[in-house]
Amino acid sequence: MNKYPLAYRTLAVTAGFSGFMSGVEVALEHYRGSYGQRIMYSPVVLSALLGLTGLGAAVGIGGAVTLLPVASWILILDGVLGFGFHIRGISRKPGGWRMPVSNIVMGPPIFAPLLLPIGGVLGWVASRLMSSPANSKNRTQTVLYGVVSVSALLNGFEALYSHYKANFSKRSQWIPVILAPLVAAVSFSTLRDRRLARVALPAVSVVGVGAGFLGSLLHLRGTLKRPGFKQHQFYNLVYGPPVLAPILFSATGFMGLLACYLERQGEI
Amino acid sequence: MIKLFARVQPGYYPGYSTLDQKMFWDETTRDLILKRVYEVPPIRFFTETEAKTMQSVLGRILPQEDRIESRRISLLNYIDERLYSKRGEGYRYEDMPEDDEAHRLGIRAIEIMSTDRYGRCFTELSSLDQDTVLKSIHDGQPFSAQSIWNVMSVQHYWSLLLRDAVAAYYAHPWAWDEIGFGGPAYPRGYMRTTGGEREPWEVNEKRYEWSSQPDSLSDF
Repeated sequence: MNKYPLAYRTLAVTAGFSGFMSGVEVALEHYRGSYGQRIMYSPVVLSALLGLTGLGAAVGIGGAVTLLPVASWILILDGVLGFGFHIRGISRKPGGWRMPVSNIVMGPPIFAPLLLPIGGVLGWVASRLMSSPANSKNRTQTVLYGVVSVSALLNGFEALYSHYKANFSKRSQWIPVILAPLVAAVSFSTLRDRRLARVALPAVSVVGVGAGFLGSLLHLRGTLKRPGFKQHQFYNLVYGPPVLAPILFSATGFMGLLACYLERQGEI
Repeated sequence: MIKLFARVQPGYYPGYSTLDQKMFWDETTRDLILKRVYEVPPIRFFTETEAKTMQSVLGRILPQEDRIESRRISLLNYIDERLYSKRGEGYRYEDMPEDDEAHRLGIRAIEIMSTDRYGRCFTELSSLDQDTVLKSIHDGQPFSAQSIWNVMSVQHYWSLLLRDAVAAYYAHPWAWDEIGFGGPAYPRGYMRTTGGEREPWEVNEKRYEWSSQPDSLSDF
């Protein structure tokens, strides 16, 4: 029998799953950037590593439990490093920061590297709880709520400029732009008002999870509807709306849900 | 059908201005375009009489009656500048003299044809008569001035004249605004590359009905 409670194992699975998902997404996006620099492989490899250790820890493999926090932290650091590289990428585009709108829209996605390690944060929380459940409750909680707020905001900004690029041609493109600040605000207020965490946060988080999956379906539909999809599937997958990107918003919502669950169980 | 009237900006894109984008161009491009608009070159190549005839010719080839006086594009000046500075296109047909010489010959031929048929110079003809003269050149069957057409190809002269007029007109930001062309794209570029969406700085097309001038041969 597995010695870890179901909640922890679910958390580890989610960390692993989100690692695989973002790994595929970043592999596609960096393929589009033709892996122009070798460091562009790093998030692909590290996401896969997180995916493996997350799943391993969930089924109770001892080595994976030990490795999970390491894999998580490396991915988080890689994300911060990537953020720096993406900022440099934008400033290197013709016109640089003199024309921020077109260069943020057309350059490397500015906040995407910071969203990538969401799985890393989940993995870190999972490993903390697994190694010693008595771990300082308040700090974990604060970190989790803070991460939900920040990642919701970053997600919202990514959706804002990507959908601005698409001219908000469909009304559903406003959903993440409106929802993200809401999730962030609620999650941030939970730091002051714990009652909010029990009611409001799970509500907006569920909506967030749903909106993310809906977004992925709509992006998939958009890709399928691109002219010539049948002849050139891979090309259209790379150049169409990013199919897996909205899932990252679901991951944020899932983190919010998880925080509520642990709050209710009194386990963090 | 509505008769054309003079506007500040003709075309289907009201309020559209490529010049508003000038801060997103590189410096060399910006200097070049602003100079083109605000420092119109003086007439130095054509003589005063030639300039008058050429002005009337250009007024029939690319009429600008749909523009208010101050927003008309000085085609004559831009063509004059090209010929004055001997800026060629890098090739010449064997049945054609150099471009500057060709323009002088062409103007002389047009004047000869006007006098032969109407007994007046080209600038004094009615629009319809002016069109008749030009259309005979367009058709490759000029009704007189054979001495000139013997040393210069009619078709190639017509093509030169048209090319110069069109090149001068559509090199101007006001013409870009008229047709909704975006002007220099570097380094800003285009972001809305799929689905036919317009860029944030573009405007929606607003079409209107219009008919060409009644005293014109262009619809025949």
